[in-house]
Amino acid sequence: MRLSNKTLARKLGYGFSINESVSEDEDFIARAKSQVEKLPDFHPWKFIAKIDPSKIDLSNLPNEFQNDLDREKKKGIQKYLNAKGFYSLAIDGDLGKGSRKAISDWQASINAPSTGQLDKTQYREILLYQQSHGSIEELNFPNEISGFSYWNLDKSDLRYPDDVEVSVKHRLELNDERERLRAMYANGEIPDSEVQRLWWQRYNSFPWWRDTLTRAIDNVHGQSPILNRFWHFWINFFTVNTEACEGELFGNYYLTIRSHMTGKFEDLLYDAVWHPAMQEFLQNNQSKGPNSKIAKWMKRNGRLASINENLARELLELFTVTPASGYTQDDVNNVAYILTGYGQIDEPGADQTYFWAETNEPGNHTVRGKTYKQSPSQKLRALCKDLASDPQTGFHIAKKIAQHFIADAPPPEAIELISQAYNESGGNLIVVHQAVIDAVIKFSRTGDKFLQPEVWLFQVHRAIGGELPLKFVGDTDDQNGPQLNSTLGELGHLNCRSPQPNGWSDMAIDWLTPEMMDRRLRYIGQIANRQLLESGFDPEKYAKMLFGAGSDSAQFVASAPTYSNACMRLFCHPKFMRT
Amino acid sequence: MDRRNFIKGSIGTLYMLANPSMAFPDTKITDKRLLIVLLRGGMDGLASIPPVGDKNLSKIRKDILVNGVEDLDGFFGINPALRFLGSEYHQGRAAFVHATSFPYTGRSHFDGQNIMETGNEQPYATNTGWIGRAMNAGGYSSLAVSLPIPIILRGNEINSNYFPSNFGELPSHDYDDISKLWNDDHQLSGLLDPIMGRNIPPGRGDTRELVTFAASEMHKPNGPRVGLLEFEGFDTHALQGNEDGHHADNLAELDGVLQNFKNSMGALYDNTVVVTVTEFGRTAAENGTSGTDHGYASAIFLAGGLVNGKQVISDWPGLSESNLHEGRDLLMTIDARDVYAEVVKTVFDLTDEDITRSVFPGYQPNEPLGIIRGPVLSD
Repeated sequence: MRLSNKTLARKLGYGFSINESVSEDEDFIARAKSQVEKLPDFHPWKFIAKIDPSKIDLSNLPNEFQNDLDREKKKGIQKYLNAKGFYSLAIDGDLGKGSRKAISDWQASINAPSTGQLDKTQYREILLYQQSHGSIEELNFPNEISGFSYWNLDKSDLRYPDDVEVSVKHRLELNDERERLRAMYANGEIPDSEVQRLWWQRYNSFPWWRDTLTRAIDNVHGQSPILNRFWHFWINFFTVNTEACEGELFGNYYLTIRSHMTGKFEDLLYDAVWHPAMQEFLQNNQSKGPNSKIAKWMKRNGRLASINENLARELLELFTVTPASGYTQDDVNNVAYILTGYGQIDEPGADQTYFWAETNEPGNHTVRGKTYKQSPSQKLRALCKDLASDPQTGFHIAKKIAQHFIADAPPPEAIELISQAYNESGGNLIVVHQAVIDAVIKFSRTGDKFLQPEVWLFQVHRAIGGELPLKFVGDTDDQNGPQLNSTLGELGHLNCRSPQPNGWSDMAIDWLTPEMMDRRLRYIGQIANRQLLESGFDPEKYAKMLFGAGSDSAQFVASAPTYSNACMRLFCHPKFMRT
Repeated sequence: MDRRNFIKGSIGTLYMLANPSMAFPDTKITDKRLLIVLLRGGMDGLASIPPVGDKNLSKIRKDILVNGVEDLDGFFGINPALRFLGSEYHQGRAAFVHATSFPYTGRSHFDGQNIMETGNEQPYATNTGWIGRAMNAGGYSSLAVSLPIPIILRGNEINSNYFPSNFGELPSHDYDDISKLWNDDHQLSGLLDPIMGRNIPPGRGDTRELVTFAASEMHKPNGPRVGLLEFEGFDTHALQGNEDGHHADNLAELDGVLQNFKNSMGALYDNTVVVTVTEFGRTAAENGTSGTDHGYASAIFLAGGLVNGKQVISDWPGLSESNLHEGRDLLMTIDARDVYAEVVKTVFDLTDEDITRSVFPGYQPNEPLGIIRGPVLSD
């Protein structure tokens, strides 16, 4: 039987909202396939921004004000005109002829005199638009998230850094800041309790909170849930734990992975492996070639330099060919030699991939029968290309992705379909992801896949139309407060804290325990009488949408004795907890 | 700057098994108690129980060489971070086995952990664990208490788990209601039964509080007989430290937890075995980042009144390059299954046949090492 569009939205994405209408006539498959072909701008915070006219005060503005606005405000006007389709020139904050013409055209479109000079009412309209669509500085956030003066959250940047250099710069500055604060503490200038608070005030030193909210907001409100499911699959495939890479590194790492969702696996592999987040996580940044220049210097000082094989082993085992391919300890060592030199973020002589030849093991290195003779910084590229093109890598990826989307024990035909797409396309991820969509349609049945806690939680919140806890409660490292990352921690599945380098499990057996099921029940019980009731969510209506009007399951939800019980019957229903 | 390893050593997870009263009122109750301690990441036996009598040790380890080692038997010593275990050893309530491992040389965490938990010679050969099967073979039903249930405990009719939560509590009629809804489901049926029957205060506990809870449950006449404690953070590739630092901190945390467990067990500790399990040891020599890479043999810690203490059992293979496995790892000379077979035979009253048939397929028990002394009657 053909899977319904609602089921597909839950298998491939994060489900559907009570406010959405999912039509069964629409060609869901075509839409899903086109969604994975392009990368929309990544700006999830706008989804929770709210328009608030009371925050716009133009009373002190003279009637003629346009030319006296500062450059940023003028840029804001240009961006608005651009978004509305009236302006396509540079966003330079210079309101010249082109900009004034665009203003005139826009004025004409709203039946106002085409003066090229905004009046206050018109300008107010632009500012209102920016409160919910503008840049992060222009957005107006709900009270829950704004005004965190204690943590100076309002001075922090909520965006993932899209430039690796920025993330590295902040990473190093965070180290310096911590040392500075510790010295102040040692000198008795500040109390112990202030060290952490002041440190967190810098940049984004609350990265797990930002990551969890960024992820949650985008999945619960965003327009590309299917693309996101694939993105998040790869984040878990290339797991890093935030315990091991502080500050901004992993935010940029996630964006780096995202940028390859329409590219090739070999490039994703290479960029994930050299990225400072992965280098710190698996400690390759400290590995040194025993015959490198730095080794000679160390030897003179009575110290020995050699490799550690942590990342080298996972590159073969988890990311590509797996132990089934029969590589040897020598292969692992030689991969480790090739990897020496990467991750040198505080070394001025390092190149743009943070590779510093001084710590690299010189010479040729042979991995699985092939000798890499390239220049030091080119060997990893070549190795990644070879590992990516091995059919065992294709099989491994196909199996992992089928386990995530189809079933814990996916039918061999599904794995075959995906690995064939991988091998024939040379690891083109658009082709692979589209093959996964085909495999889901062909080989997946309703109820095959038990949802991991995070996917389940996002599906709950997407269903109710949001109501995410947005608050930051950061007074301890445990993050026990009523905030989203502690909720995910309680559910056993906080993305950025995966316990081991193989990431979170896709197997139901790892999640189906009394304690974890109890927590799902208790979470629904906890939010039902607060957020859900206040938001006016109607479990009966949603049950009809999901299970079908007149079905036994919808009837069962409708007949619940209490509101919170109805919510539990819905969200802890076996048919909701599986897709 | 302090480097933080990707895995925090201080996060322990507790599981408890063998509560016959709740689900299986007619099953046997063993008098003995067992605490299994999983040390994930590959624990460095050479840094925990250093063979100070081997002159090669100080040649192949510099930055990570443990100073201030307390003597055990003239050849082996103990890391000063293991203060409690060292003192228990001298009082005859702790023992160590060295140069021991499951017969696995692949050096993969995930294959290695699968083997240490399933007790099979090949990874991913079964979905059940050797503790779970041992309890089954002895006729004990099981109740685990905590977050994901590790494979080592699977293979029993019922696996439950416990870990303190900050979520608000629910009225019992909600559990009754959802339990009925799940009744016909092949995976969810019965899952809430253990939750409905328990009365545990909410709140996040640290590992030391968890073992106190474990001990109090183990005291109940029909309470669990087996607990499982899980530590991560032994994957010390870089800056593992010596008598101070990352590895020593992990050992000290473990040591404190075991001391707390003993205190909470009281007189019952005389009838208890505590035993550690890890997936592999680490390279004999230190690597270029003041740490150690994945290796082969490690050490096993045993404690409790049932342990024939004050001995380090080892057929020491030596640390010279020619004596190391593939020139780099401590060689395994005692099969870890010899140790674990002796433990489960005593605790669950199993025969050698049970061991071969159910607990460790393909393994024939050897002569007992004499590490368990059998139940102690009150003085």
